[in-house]
Amino acid sequence: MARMKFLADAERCIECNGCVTACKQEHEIPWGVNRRRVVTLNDGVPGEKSISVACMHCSDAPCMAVCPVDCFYKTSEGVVLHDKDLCIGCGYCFYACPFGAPQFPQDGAFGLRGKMDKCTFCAGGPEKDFSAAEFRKYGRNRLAEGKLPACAEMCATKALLGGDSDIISDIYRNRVLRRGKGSEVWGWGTAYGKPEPRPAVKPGAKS
Amino acid sequence: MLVGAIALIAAGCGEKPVTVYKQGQYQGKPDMEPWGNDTFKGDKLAWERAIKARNERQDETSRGTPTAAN
Repeated sequence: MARMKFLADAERCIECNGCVTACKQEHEIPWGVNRRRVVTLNDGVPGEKSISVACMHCSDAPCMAVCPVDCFYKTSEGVVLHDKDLCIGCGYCFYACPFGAPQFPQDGAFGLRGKMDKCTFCAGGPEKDFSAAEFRKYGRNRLAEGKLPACAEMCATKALLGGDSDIISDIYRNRVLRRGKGSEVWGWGTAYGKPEPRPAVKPGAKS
Repeated sequence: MLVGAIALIAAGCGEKPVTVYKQGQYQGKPDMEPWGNDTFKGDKLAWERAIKARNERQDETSRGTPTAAN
């Protein structure tokens, strides 16, 4: 088994936020915490591009490097997880992460920062699988059920792929080869068909 | 005076032990392997087969008749 990764296809994402909703619903994420979100560049301009962003489960994760209490670990599948019992909520990981993945729920009445929360690749955390403690702290453990992350599996256009990096990169490579470039990528050909070949003009014919 | 001194000395006993962290090494609880639960009962191959099937289902071109553009 290779490393587990996410792959977001900006040409396919329609900014429906289905992945965000799936994540929120699956793990019962509290208000104010977004483990996943959709970022749109040039919003409202023709040709805008959207991409779904969460923890990318980096191979050399900067959050792991900067954590002062070493609460991060990496599973044998390459998923970056952390122990919430050890986390002190300092926020170093938030500054280190290039994707803004670590989230800090408000804890208490005065905006006190709680323990860090982030995408777990639907792999739970360091608690007994399927236990109430695991669900409360980290959310549902779909990976242990033999399933992939809810966001990727729910994606209607399959813009967000998640799973074994070898397989999803093959899917993406095949997709790019098939769809070509230019208007084909935009779906123009799918919506309006290919331009009909013009009949050859005979020499001397009136136009 | 004596009672105050004893109370002051005893207060030190209530202090929480300081955890010494080893830099660069995970300090938390160990996690289970995803196949080490009641669902897969330690059968890693069965888990890998389940994940592979889910992985491949993400490719719509392999699920039906290929169309002109995908």
